[in-house]
Amino acid sequence: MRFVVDQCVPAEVAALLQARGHDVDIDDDLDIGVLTDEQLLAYAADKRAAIVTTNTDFVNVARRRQWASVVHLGAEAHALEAAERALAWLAQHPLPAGAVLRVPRRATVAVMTPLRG
Amino acid sequence: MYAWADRTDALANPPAIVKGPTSTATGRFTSGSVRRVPREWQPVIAFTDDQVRRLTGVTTRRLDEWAERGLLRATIDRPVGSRRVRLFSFADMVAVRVAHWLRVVQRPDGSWEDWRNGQLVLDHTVPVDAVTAELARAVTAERAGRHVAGAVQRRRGVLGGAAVVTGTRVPVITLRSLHRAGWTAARIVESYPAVTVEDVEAAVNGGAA
Repeated sequence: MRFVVDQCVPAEVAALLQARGHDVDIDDDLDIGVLTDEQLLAYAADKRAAIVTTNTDFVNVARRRQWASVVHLGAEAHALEAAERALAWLAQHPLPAGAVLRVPRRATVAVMTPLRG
Repeated sequence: MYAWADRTDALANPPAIVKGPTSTATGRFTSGSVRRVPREWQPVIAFTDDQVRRLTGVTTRRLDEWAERGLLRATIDRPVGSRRVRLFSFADMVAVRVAHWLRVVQRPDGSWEDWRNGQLVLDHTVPVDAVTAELARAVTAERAGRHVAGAVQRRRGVLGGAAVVTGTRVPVITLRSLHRAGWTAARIVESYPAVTVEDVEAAVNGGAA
């Protein structure tokens, strides 16, 4: 899979995704700090990438726009565990564009339906 | 994208963004497992309206007008209501700069020719190579000068308007919650290479948030 990792996600998560053979867009390809939420979504949609984030406000924008799929890692201090569980889920299920994969720290991984635009 | 632009060698092989200052002295780039290369050294491929305005001098309004007339369109361009969410590639930005250069051309005798008032015969080549090199320098300078250590801001449309470390998408609330969870500033910077120790301290100690 291809991922765009938001800046609010710890660097270890990006390293994990790369180690598992995924294509990760970090700041190498993208000056992510200057982008608005919508610009980031448009960029990810263009690259057919899923965005990895820990930020709920951003997830709300993503659900309204439905441009790209989003992996929402809960529990910032434990984002790495959450990322592991997200990868296990993604290995078995597709994540359609516009859907949000919610990965809380303990509860079951869940795909949230997008809001209607 | 633009047939004439794609043919030029300068754009087929975009120039390396000129290396910026090595700001390892701040300690910002010495840690972190993913990003070992200082961020000033890395090429940038997506530019916002605001960056294009600062780097080429072409306003957002003019970019809108060009897009509507079908003259120049950003690689990523999504209409949202009456707005456009768009991102320019480096090649797009060169095209914007050249289009800007073509609007008003200075003649060898020093007089100015405005092509909008009639037909213009170009008596010299469009300086794509020079424009490209100039933009690469400007991008490098823009990138190196952006970060303001220890400052917090809210930007419209960034993380829903939450307080973030200036020039980044790192929310203050994340830094605070990690701090409460017992992470030291140094440990946080290791995981979040976009911020500095000063940024973490500013976020934790209140500030504009």
